[in-house]
Amino acid sequence: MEISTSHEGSMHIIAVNGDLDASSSIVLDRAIAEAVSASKHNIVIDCNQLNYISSAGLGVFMSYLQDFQDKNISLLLFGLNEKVMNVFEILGLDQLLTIVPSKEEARMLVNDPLL
Amino acid sequence: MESINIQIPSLMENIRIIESFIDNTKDIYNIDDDIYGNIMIAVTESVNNAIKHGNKEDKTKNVNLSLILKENEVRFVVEDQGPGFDFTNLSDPTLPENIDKPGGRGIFLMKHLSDEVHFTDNGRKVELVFYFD
Repeated sequence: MEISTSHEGSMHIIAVNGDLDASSSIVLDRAIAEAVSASKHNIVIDCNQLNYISSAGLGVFMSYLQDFQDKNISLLLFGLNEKVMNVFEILGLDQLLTIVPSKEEARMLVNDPLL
Repeated sequence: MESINIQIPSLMENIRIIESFIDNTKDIYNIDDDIYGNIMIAVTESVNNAIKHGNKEDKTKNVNLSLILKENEVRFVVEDQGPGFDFTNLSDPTLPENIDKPGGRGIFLMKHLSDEVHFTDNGRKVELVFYFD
């Protein structure tokens, strides 16, 4: 799995490429921790190239929820394929996390002007 | 009936070996994409549990994974060398009191993505069955 980060407007975008499993989830955890410590307020996860996610990968997102709430950080995910979305739905996490189809929708939610 | 058996030392990075094993299985046995996706998640969850909770990431202990292919199903058997666990008393990770906890989702996912899940040997052995239909 590879992770790349970029910025668009106020969005701090973390793109995940590959399999988010117990081994690779540490890398995502580090990327989110860095975004939090750099005081990024709109953390957006690009899942277009995410093949599959395991419970360890999901655990990374869940472990930050309280932190995000306390620090007024919004977390958005977009571009989930059907299988990845299915995993979120089975666990009811689609109700707890903000998941949108595309980057454009994410941009609208964080009220960024069109670039 | 065909069967394949692999053993991995209990290191988290060895999950990648399991992923490539499942990838190869898909190609060799021409497994359907939908079942493959479920197998990938359920089996890696099971092996992950075996490494982390069963063998406590002790690399001197192995996780054994067997694949048994029959005409109508594929069966994966994951065994660890740990103390076992109480598989009859698991909390539901989708309940409001549990939903924001970081862990506790692996077995729930395995049960939802497999057609059959059997725990034996005091929880040290897990069988995951996927039907071809």
